[in-house]
Amino acid sequence: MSESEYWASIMRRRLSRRTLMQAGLATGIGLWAGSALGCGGSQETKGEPTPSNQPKQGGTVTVRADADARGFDPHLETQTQASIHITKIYSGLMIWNRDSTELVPDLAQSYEQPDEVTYIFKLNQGVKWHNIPPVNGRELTAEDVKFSIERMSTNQPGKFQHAYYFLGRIAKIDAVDKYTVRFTMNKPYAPFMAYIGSPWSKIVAREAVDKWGELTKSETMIGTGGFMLKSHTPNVELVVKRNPDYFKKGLPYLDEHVTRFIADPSTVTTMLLGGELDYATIDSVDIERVKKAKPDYQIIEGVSTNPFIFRTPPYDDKIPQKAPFDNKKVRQAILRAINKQEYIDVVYGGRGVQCVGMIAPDRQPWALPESDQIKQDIPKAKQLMAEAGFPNGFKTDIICPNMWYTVDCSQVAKGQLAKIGIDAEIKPIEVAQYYNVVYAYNYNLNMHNMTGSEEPTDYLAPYYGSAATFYRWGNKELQQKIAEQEGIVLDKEKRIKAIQEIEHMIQDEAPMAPLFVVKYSTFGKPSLRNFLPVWNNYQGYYATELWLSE
Amino acid sequence: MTQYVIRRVLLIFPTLLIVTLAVFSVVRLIPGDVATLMVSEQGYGADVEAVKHMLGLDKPWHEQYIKYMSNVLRGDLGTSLWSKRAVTEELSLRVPVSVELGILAIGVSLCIAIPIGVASAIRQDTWPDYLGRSLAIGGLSIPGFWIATIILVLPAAYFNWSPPMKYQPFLKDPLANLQLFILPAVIMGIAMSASVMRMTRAMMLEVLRQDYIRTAWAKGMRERAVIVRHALKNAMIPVVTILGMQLSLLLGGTVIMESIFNLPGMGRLLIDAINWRDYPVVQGVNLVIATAIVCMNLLVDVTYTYLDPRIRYR
Repeated sequence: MSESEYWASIMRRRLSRRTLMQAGLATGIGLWAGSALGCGGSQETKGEPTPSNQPKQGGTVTVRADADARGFDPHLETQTQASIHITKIYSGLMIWNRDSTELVPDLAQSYEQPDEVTYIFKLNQGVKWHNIPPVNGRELTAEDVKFSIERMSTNQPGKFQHAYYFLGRIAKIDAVDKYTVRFTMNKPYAPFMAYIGSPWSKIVAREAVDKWGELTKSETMIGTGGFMLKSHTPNVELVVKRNPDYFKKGLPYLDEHVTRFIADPSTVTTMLLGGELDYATIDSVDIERVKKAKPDYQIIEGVSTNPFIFRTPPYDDKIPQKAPFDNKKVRQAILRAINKQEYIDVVYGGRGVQCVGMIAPDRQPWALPESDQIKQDIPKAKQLMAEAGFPNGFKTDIICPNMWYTVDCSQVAKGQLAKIGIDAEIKPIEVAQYYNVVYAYNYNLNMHNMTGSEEPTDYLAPYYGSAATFYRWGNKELQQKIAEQEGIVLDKEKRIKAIQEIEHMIQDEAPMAPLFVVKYSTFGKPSLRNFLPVWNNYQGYYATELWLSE
Repeated sequence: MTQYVIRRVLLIFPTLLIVTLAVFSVVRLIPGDVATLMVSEQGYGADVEAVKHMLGLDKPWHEQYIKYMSNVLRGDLGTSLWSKRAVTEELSLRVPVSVELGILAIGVSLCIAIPIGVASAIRQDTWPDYLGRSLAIGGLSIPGFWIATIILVLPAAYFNWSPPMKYQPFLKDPLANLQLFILPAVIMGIAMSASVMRMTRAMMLEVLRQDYIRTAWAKGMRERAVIVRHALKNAMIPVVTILGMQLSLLLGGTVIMESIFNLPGMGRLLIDAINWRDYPVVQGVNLVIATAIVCMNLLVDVTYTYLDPRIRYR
């Protein structure tokens, strides 16, 4: 047979019926096997929630965190990914309430403040540590509180990340008796109580520290909280179980609380829709889809407390101000070129709240009212630019971390600045490098997402205070006022007034424009009761009050 | 052959030495250092130099490297600068995930690519051939992460169904493990099968034109024997080369699939370590990947001798 005949015979060959049936059978078996393996997912069955307000014991709730914690030591860590577990397992003297507007007792049964520098806490009696070696369920005492606060105030830069709360502020801590601890400050210090209620000011056991040193690993978490560690599969999930000896009788209601570590937002939506998660905060782009697919799900909406800010270069005695931003009129012009709602609409689809001053709008009573808002005023901005000597604007650049939200916000800023003649080039920078640049104060304009807390000083001092390092602003009067308001302890109205005066000063100086905070939606199954939104720092603690109606 | 294998094994060590030197240097040259990142998270940034001293990063470069290598030779790859977990502990959790995903993906790829490639070759320029080549181009063109997202989101949105997303080690729960891995393995396998299919087809076309194949037909051998025993075996050499390269790349290159399907593999570990400048973890992961690549190359070379007895190593 010649070669051409050989190939011709191959081409003429047809599929026999036997071959076709064999292929079909193989395909069918393959598809069946694939479906048997692949179809292991859950199917959410809808049911009517039991109309009952009586908490029920039992059940497991599964939630999501975007990543596993790097470590679990409350005095060393700073990540939210750590605090959600820390607040379940450890306790503090006080805790912020569900709205983060008021401090309520936790380990402390009560407290009193006889004068501006003294705080006396009476502890609940019979509070037991988790029954895990080396602590073995002994009773918590005032000595534990003293030990913990002194530990977290250790002056070791880069290690004890919250030492600044109390380091150099507390003159002494006395364990007056087994259940009474007294703090005496060097001088009046208004942030003290807020920091005592912080998710990081947790009481740890001396035995654990003596054994392990750093309580970084999950298995070192021994606290007095409502939950105890059951298991931790790194980067997969962390499971806590009910503490049977929890000092708040009857709590927690749940048997277990599971946190799964899921990075991808689409995967979170998928798992929520599929019923694998009991509640989750959903990306803004998926909210309508989830609402449509799960009309019976509960929705909790709230705002972040971490504002987006648009800032000019810092300066102080050692760092010269960068032209043209050393000109106050230029800075004020930039502030008036900004339309804050545009950021919210363009970047987050309308889901946000405008900031007025430096303090996030949800942090009442400290935040400035809406009536103090500096609104976009292009004619005024152009006038200020002309007065500053830049009638035709100038070229500059905006740096930001290369996260989608800061890049998008920078693009909005570019468009707004163009209206007053400022031609800004956007320079996204990888996160680690970004901090190097920012710490070196080596930039012109910067789009940033700052962090805050319940303590108003945290929005002011790290940026404008005399000890600030993230950012420096060399206005001595401002620095002094920030220091002074920390000493207003007993007169809250006076402190509110002082803080708002500082915010007005900052508005006038215009070193940065506070833009907006994001509005989040947390979806939860109909059977859930008492759950808190995922972005809340204390949702771990309040998981003790979470229960399932069915 | 034995001598060849021994020589190749011995060559692994200088190769890995060069890799560790390169990674150790490069990761420290990347702008943005871990000390600055650590202090940036404090309420008031502390002394960066103090943090560097705490981490041992203020020592001269060569001192750090010598200390690192002396630990590596004792099996200690260091400790994560952030989590304080031993790098070997991190890797022991992640490597099995990546290896399993890689092997499953390769398996799916072979199950798809070889039959289609062979069928496409023996039915050249017919509709099976056109279909196979179209599928290959589709597999090469369509991003795997897009397919993955569609597979996850659409059933969840319309049928309230999601695949299982919780990782279970294979030895603990094989069925749950496979239920999680099947989808990413299939998606990755489809993407990988495209290039394998095209290579298989091309090599089969060349081999089928060889004299020994014509001899086999002339002897009256059955089609299956001609194709599988004679033609396919000889066509496999470049295919094995591609598979070896793909498996090596899979170990650290599956970060997107790992993120979408929530798999705690080496890809995510490496990306997170780079972002956080966790130098020991970056070094450890790269060392593992380099070792795997070197071993894979050796395995591929040894496989050649099985596929083609004419290949001999001295």
